[in-house]
Amino acid sequence: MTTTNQTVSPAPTPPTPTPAPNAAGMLWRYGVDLLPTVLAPFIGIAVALVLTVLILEWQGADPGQAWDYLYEGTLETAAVRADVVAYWMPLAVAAFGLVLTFSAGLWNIGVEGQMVMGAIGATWAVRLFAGGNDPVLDHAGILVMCFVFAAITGGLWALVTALLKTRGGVNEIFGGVALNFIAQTFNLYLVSNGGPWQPAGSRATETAVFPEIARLTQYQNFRQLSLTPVYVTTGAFVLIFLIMYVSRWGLQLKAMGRNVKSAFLLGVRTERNIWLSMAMCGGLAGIGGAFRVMGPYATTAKLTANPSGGIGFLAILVVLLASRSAILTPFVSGVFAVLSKGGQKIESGFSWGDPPVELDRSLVRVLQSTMVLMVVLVFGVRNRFFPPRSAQPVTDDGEDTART
Amino acid sequence: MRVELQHISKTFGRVRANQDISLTFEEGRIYAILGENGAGKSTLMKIMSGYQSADSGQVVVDGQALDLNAPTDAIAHGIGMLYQDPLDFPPFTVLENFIAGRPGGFFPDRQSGRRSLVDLCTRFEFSLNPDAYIDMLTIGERQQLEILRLLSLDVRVLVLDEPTTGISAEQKTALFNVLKTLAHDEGMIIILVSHKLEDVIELCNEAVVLRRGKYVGRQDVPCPISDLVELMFGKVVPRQERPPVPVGEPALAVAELTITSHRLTVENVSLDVRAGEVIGLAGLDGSGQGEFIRVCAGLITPDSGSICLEGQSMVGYSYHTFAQKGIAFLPAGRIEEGLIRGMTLTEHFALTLPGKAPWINWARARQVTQQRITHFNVKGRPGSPIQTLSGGNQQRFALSLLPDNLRLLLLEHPTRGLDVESANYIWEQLLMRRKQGTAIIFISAELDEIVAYSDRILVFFGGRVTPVDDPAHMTAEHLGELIGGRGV
Repeated sequence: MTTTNQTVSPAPTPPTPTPAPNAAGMLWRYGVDLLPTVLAPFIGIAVALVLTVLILEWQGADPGQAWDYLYEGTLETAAVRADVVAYWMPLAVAAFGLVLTFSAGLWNIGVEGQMVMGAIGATWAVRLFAGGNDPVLDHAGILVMCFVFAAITGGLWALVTALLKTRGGVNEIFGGVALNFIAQTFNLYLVSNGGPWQPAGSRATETAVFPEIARLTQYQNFRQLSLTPVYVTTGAFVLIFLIMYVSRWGLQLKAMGRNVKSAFLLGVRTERNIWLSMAMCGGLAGIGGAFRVMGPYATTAKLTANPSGGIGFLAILVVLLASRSAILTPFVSGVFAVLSKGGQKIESGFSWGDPPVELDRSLVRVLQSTMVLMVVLVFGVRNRFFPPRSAQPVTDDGEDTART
Repeated sequence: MRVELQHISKTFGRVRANQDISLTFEEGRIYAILGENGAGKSTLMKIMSGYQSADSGQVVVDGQALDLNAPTDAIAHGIGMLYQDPLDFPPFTVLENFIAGRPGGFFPDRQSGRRSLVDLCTRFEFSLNPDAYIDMLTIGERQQLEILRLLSLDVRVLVLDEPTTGISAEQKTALFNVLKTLAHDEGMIIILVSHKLEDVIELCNEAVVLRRGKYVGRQDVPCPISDLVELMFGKVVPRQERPPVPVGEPALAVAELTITSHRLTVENVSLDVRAGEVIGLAGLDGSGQGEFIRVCAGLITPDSGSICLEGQSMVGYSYHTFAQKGIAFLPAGRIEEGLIRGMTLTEHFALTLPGKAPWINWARARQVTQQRITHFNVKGRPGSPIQTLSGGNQQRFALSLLPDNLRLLLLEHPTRGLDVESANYIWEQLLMRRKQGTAIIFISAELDEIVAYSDRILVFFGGRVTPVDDPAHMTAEHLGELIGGRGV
């Protein structure tokens, strides 16, 4: 072996990595590395907005007007802001759960069904503890029981997916999709066509309105808003934040998400962590489902045919867009809540306008999905054309050459 | 016909799979491409058959450079490859598989397809029912079908990747007869990629050996098996006398282990390892040593036999229980299954440091990381992501992660891909641990490494084990024959 480097180096010293050419060059390389990462979300959102504007123009709706409706429907008055918050909380709490599983590399598509099961669990608690004329528990007690039941049913539902994965060899995506269907069908069975929870003589596919004692406390005069979900969601945020950034367990989940085989060999109990993280995510989604059926106003305090309203699926988009960051998730879910509520306003605004324009309600879903798709696409394009330095082949350090 | 590979190079990430390989294949001859796992032989053959593209270099047929973008391009130029797992469509019939991939219109011509299949079967005395479904066939029959399919596409160069794995002795004889006919009577070029030296000696005219992505030499066959082993593994340097090891307490005792994997059965292995002993596991890749070391780590449960630690049976306990008892395992794929790409050095320590608290003491993790990487001479900062380190540094880091005072350290190819200095450094560290009483069992593809460091050797061949108690007085020829399956 010949060395060109004649400096003094003791025998066992490994070869030193080639130094970077100069500081400016290194800065440039970092910049090239970083720029696409920073720009990706903005490019994605911009492309999605352009697409939405094009669709609006095509439908004959004035995009400027749509912007006004969006503002009017979500931020202008305290009343609409309260509605947005009421929608935001279940979305955020389900998304927090998904931060855990997505970090661990578990694609918990079943979160929608876990929310439905949570809604069913909460309703069950209402029927058990606030059913008769003489409730066993007081208001706070019933609310706690609702949340506990919701968390347990949602958590157990997620645990089924986890067990199917670790013991049955069923990928959590397929298990989740199947269990989503089952949860929705079960829910429908409960509340429709003379189902056990449909009030006798009723033809509506929903339960009876929950008694006052089993509803969340209304905040001031806002019919949809209660502060309890806000407190619970904040608590969940603190918990997820601590898990992901402070705890040993969070680091284990991240390690599993990057390489479950290595994590196992490094001593992480991967199977147990799959069960735990899935159950926790299901529990949080279940609590989100409980938020959706507990009022506070009478019209929303009941189990309907579609209690989650697709919020579980929306939470998946939120976490994808927030790239599994516990810190970004509250904000991204807030933006998505604004877009969802604003979409309803845009649709109704145009249909009552002069001349009326009939827009489809799903327009906002298209916008949200396009946004996520575009962000993911931009990341994919970046990885393809500007691979991070760490992924680039190294050919200059002489490390992997043959021994002689 | 004459096929030339000119200056083929191919890199995957950090790994140089092929480095400037030039080979010539002449008409009417049977060649063997030999080399350990990761030597680059599969990559080279995939490049030749259009499955992968080379970074540089070209494939030249009769003086004409080919532009290969897909296997169909290679087949159009007469080069066909038979993969280790036959690439057929199980829900289809033999005939349908035979027709699939043939050039032609939208509607396949079943009549002419059936005729040519039956003709080929008669010619080579294969008995394949055209209407049988693929999943009813044995691997050997599926292989026959694939050969006939390639022949019907007028292939003149046939590459076979490990064709004798999973087929019966009769099928192997039939296959070899056909290959000999094709080469010697019809002037085709046959290229065999194999680990099985016996097969190579029986069938081939010439063997080409690759090591670590480079061409190391060729050898006319038949020849003594030890010549091939020497080319594949490098020369065995006589070992310097070493003071006898003070043999300590028993570290692990395994007796009469039988392990079944999808590839082979390892039968009746017994081994007593004592503190401070180094046991080398030699053998061609896939001879059972990987399964054996994983049983010792608690990753695979054996079919039968006992694993004893301090007189207590460990069969059925999990890997993590083994780890708690002081048994550590470092797999061959450092970055694939040993370390976690995307995590920093500190995060690795934060993950593995023992501790009861549910939160991480980052200050302590950083401090320990700094201490350990200084001690183990790892070139990297605590905040560096692990994949930015070079191979040697990754391996040193993997060693630094292990707790002190291990009872038994299991290593799979501890110095693969490292240069001499890094490899020496790794062994210094390992011998230091040995001095502290850690027993070491390691797998290596380098005979000189096995001979230099082992107190005892177990040679694996096809799941059978031959113990060698005195490697210092072992001739290279004898060891080569054991590895090649002779002289048992």
